[in-house]
Amino acid sequence: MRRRLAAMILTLAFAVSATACGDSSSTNGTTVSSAAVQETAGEADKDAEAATAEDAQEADAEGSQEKEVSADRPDTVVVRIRKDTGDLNPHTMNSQMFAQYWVYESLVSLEDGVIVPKLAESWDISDDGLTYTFHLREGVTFSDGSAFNAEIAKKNIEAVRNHADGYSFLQSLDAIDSIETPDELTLILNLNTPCNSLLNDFTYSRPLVMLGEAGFPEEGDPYDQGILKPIGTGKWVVAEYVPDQYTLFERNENYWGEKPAFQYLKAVVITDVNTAAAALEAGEIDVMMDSSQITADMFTRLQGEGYTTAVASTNSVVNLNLNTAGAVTGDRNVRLALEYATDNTVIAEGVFGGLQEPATAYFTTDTAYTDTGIEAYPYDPEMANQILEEAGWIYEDGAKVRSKDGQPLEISVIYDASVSTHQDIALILQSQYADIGMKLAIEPQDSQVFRQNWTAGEFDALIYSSWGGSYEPYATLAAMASEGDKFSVVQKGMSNKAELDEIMTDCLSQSDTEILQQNFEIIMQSFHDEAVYVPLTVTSKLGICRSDLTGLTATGNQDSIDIDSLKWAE
Amino acid sequence: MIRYFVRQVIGLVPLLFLVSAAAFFLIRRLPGDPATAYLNSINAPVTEESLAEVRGQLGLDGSVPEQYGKWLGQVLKGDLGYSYQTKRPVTEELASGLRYTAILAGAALLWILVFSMLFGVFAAARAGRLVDSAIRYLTFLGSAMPKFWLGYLLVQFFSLKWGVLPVQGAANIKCLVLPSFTLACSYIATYTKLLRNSILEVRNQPYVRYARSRGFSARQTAWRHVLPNALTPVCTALGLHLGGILSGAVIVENVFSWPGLGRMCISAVTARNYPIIQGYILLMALIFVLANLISDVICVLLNPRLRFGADEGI
Repeated sequence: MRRRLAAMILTLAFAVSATACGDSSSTNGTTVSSAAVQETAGEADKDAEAATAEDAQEADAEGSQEKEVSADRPDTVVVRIRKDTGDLNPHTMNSQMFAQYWVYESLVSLEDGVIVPKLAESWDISDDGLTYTFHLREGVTFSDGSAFNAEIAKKNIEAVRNHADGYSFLQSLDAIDSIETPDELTLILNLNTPCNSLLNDFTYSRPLVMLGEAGFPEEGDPYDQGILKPIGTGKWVVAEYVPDQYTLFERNENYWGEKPAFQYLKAVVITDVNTAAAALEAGEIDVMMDSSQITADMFTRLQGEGYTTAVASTNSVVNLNLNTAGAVTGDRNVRLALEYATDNTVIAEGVFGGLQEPATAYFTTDTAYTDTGIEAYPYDPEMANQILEEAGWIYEDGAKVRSKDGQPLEISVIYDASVSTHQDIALILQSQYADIGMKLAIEPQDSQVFRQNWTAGEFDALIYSSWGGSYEPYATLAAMASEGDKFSVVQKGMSNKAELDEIMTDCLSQSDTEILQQNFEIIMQSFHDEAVYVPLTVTSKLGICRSDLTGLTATGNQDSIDIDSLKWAE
Repeated sequence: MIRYFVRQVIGLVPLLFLVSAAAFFLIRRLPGDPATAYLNSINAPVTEESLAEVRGQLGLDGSVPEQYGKWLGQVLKGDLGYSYQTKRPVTEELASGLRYTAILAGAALLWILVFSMLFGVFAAARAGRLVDSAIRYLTFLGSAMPKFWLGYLLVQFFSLKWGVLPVQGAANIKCLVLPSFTLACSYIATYTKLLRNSILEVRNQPYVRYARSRGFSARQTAWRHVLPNALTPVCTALGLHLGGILSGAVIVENVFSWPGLGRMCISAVTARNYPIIQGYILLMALIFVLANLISDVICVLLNPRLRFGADEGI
């Protein structure tokens, strides 16, 4: 009998043990994190510790949560992040770009499509485009107090160049021939060929950003050996990292520019956007910002409830890419008809609630050299019908779908199923194309399958957002001109593809700006004439924060989370 | 009993070997290239050069059997490789995720046991009456609700309306309540029904009537004879379901931002992060088998008649 009782107890213990064990682990976990925060922040900074969810929950339970939470942690802003920040190695691609922007800086940065000074106050480019002289900012120190100077800048660039194969998208690494440091604040890059993307390459969040000496491994480079510490010159310093849960940043008191108002920034991983919205409403997070997950419905609902919001257009464009070598879309008249049959204002309103602007070309108008004044095709279904009629695509025997020589006017559109808005876009296109007698089949695909089919050219049309960010336009042109790349596959059937590839390649190193501009005019005109891309909308970055915070601004950089000017309302 | 246990543990070795081979070769049949996925995940342009570089880095440059041989050699040394995305050891990543998933599953098991015991015993005691029907409908409702919907519903009331429980995270025990209950809900119906029917069946056994005729009170009979015997099928089912509960926590972990294995596995599949997927499959196979083994042991302890079979190596 005792044995049976023991077994019954064991059954319960079988289930309970994990829980009991879990409780203690969880509690220990919290204690450790709090202790670590205290250790980092020092005795005087207990406010940060109060930022732990536990305290926030206690405040919640007592009602009037927002005021109490903000009163409990006046020095901490809690931001929702979609993925773990990673180890913040600035020379590899494994960490999240927004976090790299928080911790590291480069010589220059990109603001509203213009390259502006950052760690370099100014720069000179020789007439032949082969020498770049950067005049570095004086008085800049890394977060550990060590000085930023030409030597450490050279060390960083050399470390990246040692692994140039790992950054094939950076045109400048092959172009840099030698680096000189005539004095502490002057850095000279000597190139073996002009490189138009050089300054752009220094605006990325990685890898051409500056890691402090103390962050370098004893042997090898950060690329292959990792970093010892994430030491940068940026506004924030990593204070605590709990993988897959959160990263706590502390304000960099050595920062050379205007420092953030908050002393701590807690970046909490919440994968699901609906959960993030609920966490914002419950006062568990203060801010959420991204360019892909926040829906128009969610944005307008929270805006209506009094939350502070911000919108910014990025330089990423959602395009319908038409396979110029496809069975049906290989016919230029069909592609042209699709241009006229697409009303992207309906998509901008219907899918994005007016939060995204209708696009006019593959690149946004503020992308260097690409705004060549070419007018986008207007929405004109009658013109689309006329083009198809004249091209021999007719309705046979009262059919609802046109056909030509027995080939029905049917195409499919593929897209990455993980992007929920692309489904809505496809549905609108399906309805618009039905009006011109075309049947559009919708085929959502797994991310990897989508890219595989794209690269193999096994599609008629696909929905995709262009890279955007400071990659544009050079990295995209390089990909389009690279045979076998998925960006090149779309253009395979263009009548002037070979010539276009040469022009696109020339753009990467052309130092004569007039010729460069002419090149871009040819490229953009070809895209237009050949009707390769149907521009849909310009991606927006959306930010939402609690109403008692001010200073929420969204920049056009789709990869950043902009929290630097946030502060509590008076 | 011990011989049975040892034999089962030894039997694990070829099973895990088969699972490892199946995991390794089958995931490579999935469409989609991990090197491309890696480059896309880091927002890097995909070119022939970058693909070749990444394939070398990720150890994807040999033939599949070569890769398997290399991986198996590492696994035998306890090294499951490195995550393509984070570059951290797979064992470290899985251990971190497993800890949280085990906490979640453990708490869910607690909910399952408490509610199904309560409902099961109560429904059996009032079999055929209104209470029995009410419990049946209530539990069916719980099991029919999609987990994500139930999760959002609970958040709406407990977090947003009443403000008593957090929406997300794993900072303290309060964070565990909603995800574990959401995970448990669908199982409570199964176990309530199982226990109810089992009690009704055991209650009519001759040894129960004999116990009553020996003068034991109804309560004594229920505790000493009915319940321990009725729990045997529950225990067997628990052993079968434990792996399912652990591996089925995916949606719940996503909804409540619980840093467990499920969330990790989903992102690994999307990114074709082979080392994590392989490690996850191996771990799950191990857990399934061990859970069944433990439930066998508990069943034998609960029901001495099974011990003879066990000693003979059932």
